[in-house]
Amino acid sequence: MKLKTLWRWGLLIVALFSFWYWGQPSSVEAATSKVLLVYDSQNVAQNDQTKIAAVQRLLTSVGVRVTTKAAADYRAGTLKHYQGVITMINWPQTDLNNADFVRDRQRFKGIRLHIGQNLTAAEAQGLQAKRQKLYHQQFTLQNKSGSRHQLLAFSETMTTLTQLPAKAQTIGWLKSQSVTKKTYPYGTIVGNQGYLPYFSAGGYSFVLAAQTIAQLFGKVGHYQPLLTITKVTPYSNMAVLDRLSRYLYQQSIPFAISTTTVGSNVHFKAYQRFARVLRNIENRGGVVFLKTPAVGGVTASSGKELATLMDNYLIQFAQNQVFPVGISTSGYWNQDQVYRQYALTKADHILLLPNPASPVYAKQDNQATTFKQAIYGLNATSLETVRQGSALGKLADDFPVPTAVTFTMPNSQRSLNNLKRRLSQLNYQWFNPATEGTATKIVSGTATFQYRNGTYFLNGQATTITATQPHTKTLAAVKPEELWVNRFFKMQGTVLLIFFAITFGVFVLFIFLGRRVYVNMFKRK
Amino acid sequence: MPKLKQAYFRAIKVFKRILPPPLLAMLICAGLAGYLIFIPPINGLADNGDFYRAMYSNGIYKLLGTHYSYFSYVTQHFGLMQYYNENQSVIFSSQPWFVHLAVFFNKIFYSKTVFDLRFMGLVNYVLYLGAIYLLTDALTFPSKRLRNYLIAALVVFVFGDSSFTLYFNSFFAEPQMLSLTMYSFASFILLARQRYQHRWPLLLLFAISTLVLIASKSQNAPLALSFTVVALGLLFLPHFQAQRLYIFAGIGVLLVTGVLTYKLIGKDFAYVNQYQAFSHGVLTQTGDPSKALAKNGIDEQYALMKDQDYYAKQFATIQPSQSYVEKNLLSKYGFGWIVKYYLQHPKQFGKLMDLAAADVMITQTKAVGDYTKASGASPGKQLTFFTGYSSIAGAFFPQKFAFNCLLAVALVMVYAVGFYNDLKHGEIEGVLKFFQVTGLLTIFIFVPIIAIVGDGDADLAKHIFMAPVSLDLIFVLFVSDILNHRLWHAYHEGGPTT
Repeated sequence: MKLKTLWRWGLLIVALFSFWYWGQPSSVEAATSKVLLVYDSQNVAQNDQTKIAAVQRLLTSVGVRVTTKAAADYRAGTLKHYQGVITMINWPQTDLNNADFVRDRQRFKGIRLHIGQNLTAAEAQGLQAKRQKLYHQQFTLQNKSGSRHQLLAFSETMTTLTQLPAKAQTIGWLKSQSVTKKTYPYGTIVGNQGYLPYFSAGGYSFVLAAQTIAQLFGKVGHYQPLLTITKVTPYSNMAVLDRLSRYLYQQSIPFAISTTTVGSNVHFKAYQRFARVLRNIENRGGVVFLKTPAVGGVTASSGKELATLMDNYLIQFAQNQVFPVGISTSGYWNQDQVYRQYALTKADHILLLPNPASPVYAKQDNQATTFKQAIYGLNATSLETVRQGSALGKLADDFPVPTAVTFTMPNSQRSLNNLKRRLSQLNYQWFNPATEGTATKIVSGTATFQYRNGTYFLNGQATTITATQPHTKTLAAVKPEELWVNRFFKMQGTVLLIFFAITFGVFVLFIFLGRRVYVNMFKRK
Repeated sequence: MPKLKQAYFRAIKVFKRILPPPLLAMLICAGLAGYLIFIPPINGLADNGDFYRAMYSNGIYKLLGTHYSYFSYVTQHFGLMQYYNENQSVIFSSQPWFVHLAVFFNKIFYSKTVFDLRFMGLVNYVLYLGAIYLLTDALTFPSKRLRNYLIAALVVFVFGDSSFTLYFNSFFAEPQMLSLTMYSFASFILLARQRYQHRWPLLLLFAISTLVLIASKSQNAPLALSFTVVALGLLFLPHFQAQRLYIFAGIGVLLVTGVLTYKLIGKDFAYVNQYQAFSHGVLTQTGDPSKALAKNGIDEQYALMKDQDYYAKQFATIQPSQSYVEKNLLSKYGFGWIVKYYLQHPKQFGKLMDLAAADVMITQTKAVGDYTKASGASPGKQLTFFTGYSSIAGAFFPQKFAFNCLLAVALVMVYAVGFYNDLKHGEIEGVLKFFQVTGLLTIFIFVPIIAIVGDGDADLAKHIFMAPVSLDLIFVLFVSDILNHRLWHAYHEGGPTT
């Protein structure tokens, strides 16, 4: 009996040990992962700047600090300060014209990743593989067994790797649609070097690219997606938003919303209604991300104003018992020194959404920071409409990086019904921040918002959210002391008005009397 | 002693011949404005975000590699496009003619690639000086008294004010509006005083300046009605029958121009005004507009847009230009809705009108800086050089709209006396003056109303620019009429005769 117990214990220890061993990332883990992302061109004509932005977001979600540079701006020796380098080819028709970069990259000992075409011979050598260029083909991207697959768009050229060494890890396979049906590796990791023949910001390609990148940087995990309703504003259809949150509550689906807010006019009925709907969300298993505002004519000195505005947003929310768990923002905000310093760093949980069509920077520095958790916002459509492939949403695999699957806020009953229908087709085990031990923190001015295990803490004190309007102490508005001069001018206006009115009346009276006197002069008595 | 007196009178006579009041007024204004706009460091008005309308369609762009300052500093140098310009004019306007002229001179005398704002200033400056000359001439003709110099001084004090001349170094349409209004006014008064033997040059000047003025900005469209009131005075000209056809045709063209200017407002431009008429008008000067909105068929949530600009200065909760706002808010109301709303809320409208009245005499645009960055001035710094008139008028003019209405009635009555007297005596001066003053007063009263209904209190001081100009013109006319004893009847050589 005793031997049996011992035997069992031994087995458990071995199992645990092997589990721990396999769980270890196979590639070299960087101590403080600081990565330089070098791209050849934004290639705005093809709208490919969105790919750079997506890679930036992805790296932040993975938890590495990424600095982005155009190859043309690279100065010799810069790589010394980094633990990783990513080469991103966005415009394969041109050459990467920076000998300094190519030389430094060649000598670089840290993690190296190449995304896109034009893989050099030296890079292929580092991967211990041979390059093979494939022309005019269509591929299916699939996993090893073929249970997940996605038909890719027709590609003119694609550089793939052959004769990989035995230790190479392959993440996804490209299966040619030609008669040969040959397969080539998609994501490839050999030691501390990786390769992705192309990048796409959504769909199965994205999932596999994310896995490759996370694995290369030793940060791969298993994350259930967070269902997120984006583009909520105080001007959204509040009735629909309330119905949506009730529906999700009834379906036991935990969710998040990303909403902007206003910092003024908070005494309006409209704001109270907005806050009430948000409180309902909090009571129905939802969490709130505060979305950063839209940007107008900002300058590098707009930081103070931004910080005040964000504090104001948060304080007004808190007074109405709305406690955001994090800040949601367009990815480019993390590439801007002012936005980062005065808004994003207030929170330790960030939801990174795609960029608007034309981002406006205050002080772009392309030096993204990392957060306790940065969630990658992935539009639900890219999981639903996989053309001739498996519906990823139905298969509901978990994600290698923290991911939010986003739906745009519906603004009519019809679009709400549509959302419900789409949602029913996704089989994900949605991430529940309340039960899965999420601990978030926002520090804004003197107030601290925390969220732990489904409980909200304001300045360290647990708070219960009531359905009705909380009776907060509203401070009496500070009336600016009126200058006597202003009072005089205000008075003067009224005095003159009365004076003129009286004069005017007397004037009319005189005309009338005068006329009578005048007429009487000619009347025979 | 008599010899000395004789010499004194001779000296005055010579002085009057060499420097008649109109010329003197023009020279002083030339000095004052020239100092401001040409001598570095130059002064002008910074871009409030509206310059692009006049810049891109005319081939002017912000120089790359330099920090372009909105609101805070005046930018002196711009780039001139070298290749095909794809930017179409966003609005129908006569302003591009003046900008084209400035670019033309810039290319001849300065550079083909870099545009110096001073050339824009130069075009405005020349136009303005002619207007000053003509205006002073109109106010003093035909009297030869010494007190005409007092009138000239008044013209300099009122219209030489830096709050007006600062506009010259900018891509705003206001400097042309100022000068054109002065031309229109002066030519009409000169007609009334029968300055020249031939009438047609003045009629032509009146027609052209008025038409160009109305077409210079979409918000000037309603002015067509005011100037129609003025033009009606022409029906009282002697030998009217002979010119009847031309005058009626002229009035017709005037109205058509007004309609065109209104109709050809660009869609985007109309959205800006429509949005701000709501956020800066309907939602302001009231407690909580949520309920009133819901009652009028607009989602009460939009009450939270109070005080939002269409183009956010820095940050905004939502970009009003996005299709969501267009579809869910802008499609729900129009001009008629706003008028109906104000009719239901007269108290709120009254407050808004008082707000407009408070701004009516403030002609210096406080929202933008007057200095260049190179001058070392603090951002947004306001010029104080020769702003006496605008400061005094801005501070002391009563801030009640009801007062403005009473003032208008009083002035109409005063000039009605001259109208009656001159009509009886078969003279035209008082008659035409009455129509001129009445027309200008309709501008003074209705421009603020239209500004509030059409664009709310956003940029109010700039939108009611024509109101102070009108009142200033009436003011100088009134004072000059008193000084030359011609308020109640036409001028008679040798003083009052009644």
